[in-house]
Amino acid sequence: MSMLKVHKNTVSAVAWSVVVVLTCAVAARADDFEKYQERARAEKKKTIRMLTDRHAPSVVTVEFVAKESFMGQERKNEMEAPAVMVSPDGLVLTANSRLQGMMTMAMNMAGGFMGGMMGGMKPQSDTEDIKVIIGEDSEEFEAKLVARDSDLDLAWVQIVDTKGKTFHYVDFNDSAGLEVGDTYYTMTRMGERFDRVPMVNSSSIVAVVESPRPLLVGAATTAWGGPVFSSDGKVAGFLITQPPEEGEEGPMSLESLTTMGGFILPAKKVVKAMEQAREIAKQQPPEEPEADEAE
Amino acid sequence: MSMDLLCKQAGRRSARICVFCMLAGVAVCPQMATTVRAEEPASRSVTAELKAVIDRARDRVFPALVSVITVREYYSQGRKRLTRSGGSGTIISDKGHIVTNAHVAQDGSRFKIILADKREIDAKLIGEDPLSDIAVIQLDMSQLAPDEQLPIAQFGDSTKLDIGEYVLAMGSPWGMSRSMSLGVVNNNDRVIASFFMDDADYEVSLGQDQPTGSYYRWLQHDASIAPGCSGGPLVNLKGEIVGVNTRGAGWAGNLGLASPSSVVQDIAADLIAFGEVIRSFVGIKFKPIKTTGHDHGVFVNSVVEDSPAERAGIKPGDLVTAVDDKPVTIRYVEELPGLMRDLSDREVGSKVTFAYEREGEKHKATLVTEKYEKDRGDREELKKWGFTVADLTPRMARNRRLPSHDGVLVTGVDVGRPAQTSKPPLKRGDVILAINGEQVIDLPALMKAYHGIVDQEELPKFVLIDFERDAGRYFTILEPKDEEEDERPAEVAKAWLGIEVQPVVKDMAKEIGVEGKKGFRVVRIYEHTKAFASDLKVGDIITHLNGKKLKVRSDEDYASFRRKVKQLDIGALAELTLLRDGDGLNLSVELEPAKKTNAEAKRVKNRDFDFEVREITFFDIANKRWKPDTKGVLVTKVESGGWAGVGHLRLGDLIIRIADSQIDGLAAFERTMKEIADRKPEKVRFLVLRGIETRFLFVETDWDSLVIE
Repeated sequence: MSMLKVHKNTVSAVAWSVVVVLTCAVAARADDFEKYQERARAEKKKTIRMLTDRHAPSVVTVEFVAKESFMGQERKNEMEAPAVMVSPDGLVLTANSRLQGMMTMAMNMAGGFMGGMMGGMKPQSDTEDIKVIIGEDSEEFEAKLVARDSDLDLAWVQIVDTKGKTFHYVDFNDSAGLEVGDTYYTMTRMGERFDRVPMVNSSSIVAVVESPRPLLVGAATTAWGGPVFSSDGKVAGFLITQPPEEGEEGPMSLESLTTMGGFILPAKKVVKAMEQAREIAKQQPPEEPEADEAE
Repeated sequence: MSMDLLCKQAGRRSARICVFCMLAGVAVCPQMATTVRAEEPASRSVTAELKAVIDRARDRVFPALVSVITVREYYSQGRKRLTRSGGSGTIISDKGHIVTNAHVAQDGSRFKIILADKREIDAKLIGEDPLSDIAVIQLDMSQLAPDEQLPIAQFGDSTKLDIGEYVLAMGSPWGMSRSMSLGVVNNNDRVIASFFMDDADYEVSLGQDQPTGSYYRWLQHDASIAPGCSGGPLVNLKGEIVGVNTRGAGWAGNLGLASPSSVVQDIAADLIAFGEVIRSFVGIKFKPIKTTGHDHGVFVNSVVEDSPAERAGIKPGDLVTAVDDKPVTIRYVEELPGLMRDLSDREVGSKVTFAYEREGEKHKATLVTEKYEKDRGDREELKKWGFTVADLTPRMARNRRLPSHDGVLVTGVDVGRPAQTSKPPLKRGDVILAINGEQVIDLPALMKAYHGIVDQEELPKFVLIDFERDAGRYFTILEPKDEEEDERPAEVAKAWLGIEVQPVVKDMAKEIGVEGKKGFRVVRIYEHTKAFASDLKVGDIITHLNGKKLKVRSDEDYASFRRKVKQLDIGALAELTLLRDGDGLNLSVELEPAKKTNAEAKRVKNRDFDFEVREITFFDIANKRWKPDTKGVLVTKVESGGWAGVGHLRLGDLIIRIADSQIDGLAAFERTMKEIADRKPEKVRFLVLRGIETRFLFVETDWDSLVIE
């Protein structure tokens, strides 16, 4: 056997060995990645189940009648909004913008564009006949709107007749922080037609803004008005919307029109506003619950 | 089509004459126009004579012409609402009876008559007949002098009118009272039918369940009439009423239709004597034979169920050839009303024999007429439950193929109120049969059951309502509750700097001498604020807030400064870095709680006078530049037919005084209105600020008509 032939065989063997090793390495990495994905999926599944078990009883629906007046016409519609119980005595948090009529909501969402079309006129929206609906059994409790923070898009509804119950609630004082890249989870309830089962979605924080105020921005523009949770099951914030204020419309763009959902008010900001709301609620006279019929 | 309007002041205290003569005159008398242009003495004489004839005719009726203002209750979307409408009428008796249209008086809760001398007198409804669209109302004679003689207009004979004959239409077009126009009779046996319609569809309607025009033929004319002329007289050149103007046909070139006096006179007499028109009913709808292939008789198009005709054996498709042995042939639709009237004018309970043919064979049937039933039942609003109803008449029940006329028909449901949120919701068209197990036969029974529940001290939690829908029998449970007062929740207070700003960006900065700088220029400092008390001045440009440079996004960016301030704490000092006359400056201003906005202001409704007010805010005073000590309540809603609306209270009025009470806020307003409701005066004086002027409004009331809920 000549030296050249031996050399050629060696090179070939080495090359093949490298190929085999690389292939095994890639396969191993792929295998690792798949195992990682599997673990991530399992983790996510576990998290969603944990969140549902822990917080679903606190996630409620506010049912109300929206009365709108616009250009001399008045109309009423029955509406629903997602909400969360924030105290055991029946204080419920929802998004202020969700407690409006459809026309008002649509005009607010479209911002200055719609306002400009309507010559600056805006509908007047009032909220009546409020009920809080809890759980899949759709147990109803009469409630009253006690405070709102239009600036932060928060509103608080207080159950008037607790029927002697204490409620499951989410404690915003025990909260987690979120950063860009973190996964977060939102929970709302599906409509009456679907037995109001709880529904959990997950997404990621894609940005943190300071203007118009400190907010987290989620990737998904989901229905707003519900709580946001971190992976460890703690509440991290509340989903709100940020329609432009009067005089803040700016040039029309898809971004300026897209003010629906996706904005998370950090839990600490919610807590601060809630303290003020509680003060306001305390100043109001208690409402007499309706008498039940004698048995 | 446009017409020249020639208005000539008659020089009489009580009359202004507007004569539409140019086009009509030329159209009718082209020779006259040509002759006028030639200025021959004969033509001037003809014109003068015509004018004299018109004047005489006018003077015989004009003094008896009145305007009729109706405060009308109408039912819409589950609520009873008030509105005002205007029409015309003519005084026809020395007892103050006025003939007008049924649709002018329809649903009227109050009537105000404006006489020729402009006095306003109350009136009441004597009776109305939708089938002829005629009504009679009567003046409250106690408001006239005891020996006062009313001007009265006389009826003429409309059957003697020729096509082409001059007629005068008098009334209040578009509310312009005491107007007159000249035209000619275009057609004296008009039915509302055209070449393109089924000739059985000549009947029109005043509303649901309210047909009209079945028994009469209209007078068609071209004397200009407009909304407001309804109920006014159509007058011949003898000065006699030959018709009552009922409807216009604007789509037909401004033509008018009037009920002929041959009909109106009889109807008015019946209404005065009996309060209603009593008609016979046989239950047959006829069709002219023109398209049926028959050469004699009149075709039976339909027979009403359980009517005298059905019981006598008459069927659709029969050919009636004689009535009481008198041959009858109806070839054209114009001939139908005559037959219908002949039958309806017979005494109730009289026998009528019909000879008819069926499949080539001759038959006879004798029936006994019945009383023509009321078309539409009385209506009501169940205010606290949020829906409206109508009493079911036998006719209404038949039209809907209901098994009987027991029960009450739901005519409208107000969204968001108890009826609509009941489980299941009530809907228009439902028939209520029982409340809490107690049968509801008719409207009085329903209202008794309703008041028996809502007038209690404590409302029950639920009311069980038994109703029929689409031939099914259902229950619903309704939660009765009082209408909520306006309780706007308080806003969480935010920090506020009492200024308004304008963004300063590149181009603006250059023009105002601060090139390269960005910020917010102070354009207004609200008085009586911490900002006003500070050294801040209009024109200052704020560049930094609490040491942080302010970002100005665009020249439309008015709100971001406000937002930044809101995020600070109330009572904290806002450290402002600003530019003034080119120099930098630092200034601290204490942040105060934001003032209540107009949208947050509390509102109060007054249901007696039907209007709503709200408290005035800091921004009302600032933006309207009122004096700082201005007090009052601002009107935010007025129902046009309510007392406040009729009394001319308007949106935006600032109510300063009511009667002798100063109104310095909502509490004073509520207190005063309660006192007025207790005292029930005939008139209430309001002092309002409207624009820059004060104004007194004297609002008339009618406490007797008010149903307190």
